[in-house]
Parts: sequence; structure tokens; C-alpha cells
Amino acid sequence: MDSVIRALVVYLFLLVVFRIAGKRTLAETSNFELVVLLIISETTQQAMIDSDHSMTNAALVIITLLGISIALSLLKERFPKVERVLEGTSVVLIENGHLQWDRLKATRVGTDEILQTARKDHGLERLDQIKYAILEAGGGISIVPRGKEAE
Amino acid sequence: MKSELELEGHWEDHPWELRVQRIGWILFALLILAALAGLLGHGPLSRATAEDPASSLRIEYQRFERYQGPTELRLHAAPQAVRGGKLKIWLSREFLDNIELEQVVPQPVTAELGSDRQTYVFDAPHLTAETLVVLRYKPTLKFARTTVRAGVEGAPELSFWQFAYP
Repeated sequence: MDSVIRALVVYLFLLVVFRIAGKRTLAETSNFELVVLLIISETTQQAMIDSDHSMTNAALVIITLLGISIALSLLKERFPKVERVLEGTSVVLIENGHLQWDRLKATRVGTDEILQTARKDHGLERLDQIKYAILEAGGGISIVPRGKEAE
Repeated sequence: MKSELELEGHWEDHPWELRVQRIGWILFALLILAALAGLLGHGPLSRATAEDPASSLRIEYQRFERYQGPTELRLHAAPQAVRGGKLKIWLSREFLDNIELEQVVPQPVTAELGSDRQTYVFDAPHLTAETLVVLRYKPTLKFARTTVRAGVEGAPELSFWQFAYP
């Protein structure tokens, strides 16, 4: 019983904390962010396992985490509102070539991050080559280059 | 119509994959429910009590335990269990040989070794109400059912079983 409750509480706690922290928190894992992520995972592991190092406990914690994930995915599929609450919505950062400064500020995304994704995913060089930049619900940035409209 | 997309296999060609996945989900749910109920470790269905016929000793224990998982026995001794100012509680060697005993609270004054049991002796000259002794331990068996025998000196013994998961 304890294993399932511990895993459930930690999962829900992380869900709430990361939702509050915002989409971009730890989304782009720089070296330092990777270290923070590892510290969080280590701390989480200790809270979930406690002092019970049996295989049964480990198996139950894993099954509970996967079970919650499956249950939430089913809930999100059935009730789109749940998805919006749990994951938030996408935010358009560049709309029709125009930078949306208020949204950039609110989501803590810099133009350098948009340019970085644009270079990596589309080989673009400048901001004016971007038609749309969207901060997806999952925290990633999607780029739609100019010129796509012609296709 | 043949797809232009070069893929190793098509999802529709493996209907069993989805079926196995759904069966797996049901299995996950059943395991989580079993764990919550206490069939895979501590929980409501795991909690149990054993008492000797003379009501001198009552033990709260867990039926289902886990290998190296912290657990405890709560031994409630009645005042009539005290003889000559001493409370003597014994536990079978079969049980003690298969656990890693971490703590006995309160600490016994002494322990007496027997061939099939170990007796813990506590000073209790003024005991007028039920008292509690807690044994904290970790099981050292995996996939094993053990029978625990226990008692207080001069009273009939009690016994119960426990199962340890790996």
C-alpha cells in the first residue's frame, strides 16, 4: 500500500510543481539544468523508495508511475479540458513574422532560444525568416519558416 | 494501396500488439489494487493479530512482507504475563534466524538462548496494565512462507504465518 501511495503522491507533487514552474523550466537541458534534473531525480527516488529496497517495492513503484501516466493519458483523451489543465496550451511567440513581446516575456523565452531552434531544425539564419514560432504545451519550440505558405 | 513510406512493419499487421498492451494495462491496475489492499506488502489485508488462548500475549503483525523491507511486530503483553517482576517473551528461532533484527523497544534486560526459541526478559515489577514491546526487523527470506511461534513464559504459545516477497 505504501509503495503505491508514495509513488502517487510524488507523481502528483512533481506534476503540480513543474506546472507551476512553467513550460521552459528544464526543457532545454543545458549542462547545469541536467545536473539539477539529476538532483531532482535522486531526491525523488529517495522519497519514493524510502528504506524498502525490495524488488517488489521497485516493481510496484514503476507500475504505479506508468499506471498514473496511462490513466492520465486516457483522461486527457476523453476530457480535453484535463489536458489543458495538466499541460497547458501552446503559446504563439512569433505570429506572421511579428514577435509577440508580451508572450515572450510571460513565458521567459528569449529570441536567442527561438533562433537556436530555427537554426537546428530548419537551418534558418535570421528571425525575419520565421513565420511562426510556437512554444508547445510540452515545452519545446516549433518553428514554421516563411515560404511554407507558398507550398 | 502500397504506401510510399518506407517502414519495417505496419501497425495494422500486428493486432495482437494492442491486445497485449490492453491486457497489460488491466494487469497493472490489478497489481496496483492488490498492493493498495495489502496483498503485496503492508496494507489493510496484510495487517493481522494473533493472541494466545490465555490472552497473555497479543501480537500485531503483517502477513505479507518484503525481503529487506522494514517491518515490525507489536507485542502486547497483559499484566498476568509478569511473573516475579519479570516479563519473559519468547520467539521461535525459526523466525529469528530468518530476520535481521534491528531494534527491540524497550530494550530487554537480557536475552536467554534456547534450542528452539529465544527469550527476551524485561523488568516489570509494577505492571498493572497492558504493555507494548516492539520488534523492528527486516526479513531475509525471499518468496518464503514462515511460521512464527511466540509466547510468554507460563502461558500457551501462539503461532501465525508470514510470507516474504522478494
